Amino acid sequence: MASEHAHSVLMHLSLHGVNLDVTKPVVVMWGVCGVVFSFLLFANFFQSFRRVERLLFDFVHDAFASSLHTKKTIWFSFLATLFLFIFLCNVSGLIPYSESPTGSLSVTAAMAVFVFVLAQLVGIYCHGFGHLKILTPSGIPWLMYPFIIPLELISQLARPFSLAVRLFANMFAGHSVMLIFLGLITAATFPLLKLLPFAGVVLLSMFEIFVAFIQAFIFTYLASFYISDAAHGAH
Amino acid sequence: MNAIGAGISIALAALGVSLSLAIVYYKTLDSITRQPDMVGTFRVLMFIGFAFIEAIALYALVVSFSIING
Repeated sequence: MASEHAHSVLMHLSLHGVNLDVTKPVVVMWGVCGVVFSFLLFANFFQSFRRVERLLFDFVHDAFASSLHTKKTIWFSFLATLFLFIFLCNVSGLIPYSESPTGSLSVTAAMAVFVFVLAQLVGIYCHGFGHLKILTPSGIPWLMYPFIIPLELISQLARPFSLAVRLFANMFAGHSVMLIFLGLITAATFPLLKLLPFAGVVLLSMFEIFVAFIQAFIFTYLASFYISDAAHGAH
Repeated sequence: MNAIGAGISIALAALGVSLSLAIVYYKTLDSITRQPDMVGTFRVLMFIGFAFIEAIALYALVVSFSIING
């Protein structure tokens, strides 16, 4: 299902046999990166951009400060960029002639794996080899370890899976339902009957904007939670 | 046979999700009534709960799409 239709290829690229074709989601992601970068660049020069950037920073600080128990601003920059990138990628699906890159499992899986590896690196940086102690929660007698450790390992490994599939499924399902409504518009016989699916498409688009924001927020919130959990969670 | 499996998958998921979301919103409204000054915290937790529960329904939707496409 994730590879149902082949993306139209703009330019064929490959590196030692690894397929690096430039497809439409890649171009949309470049566009989103350009928008984010130029927005943050113009915030240096223009007061109005600075006000919007202040809004973004206040939102990120208020929403994620409770889950991230650190005052270092590099994490706020990371979370703000992640949130802005995912939100703009999700919203690109609603712009005509462009699709959402997060609607393909590859993009969301790459971001989820990145967050997972980042959390493990933070854990190893803070606790060294004792980072493995996250698999053994406190208060468990050591005789139970052969049962607890596989369970905890599976639940830790399920985190990037659920992160990737949650974002992908939300974006994919939204667009699938919208396709069904659009098909209903075509299949309706009387012109007056075409009004109902059209209203459905309009309402669904508004709901899609809301879902885009919520899913970006959830992804960023879980990323900050996993990172702070690795830094000072179970130990 | 494929279509029946896909239909059952999404139907059961929708049943569970609608009940769970009803519980979440019911308790959120209760908490707002008890403590109106913490509406911000409740709103954030409500959205987080909504996203998690909705994600379960979408896992089932992914499964039903996979069943349909063989």
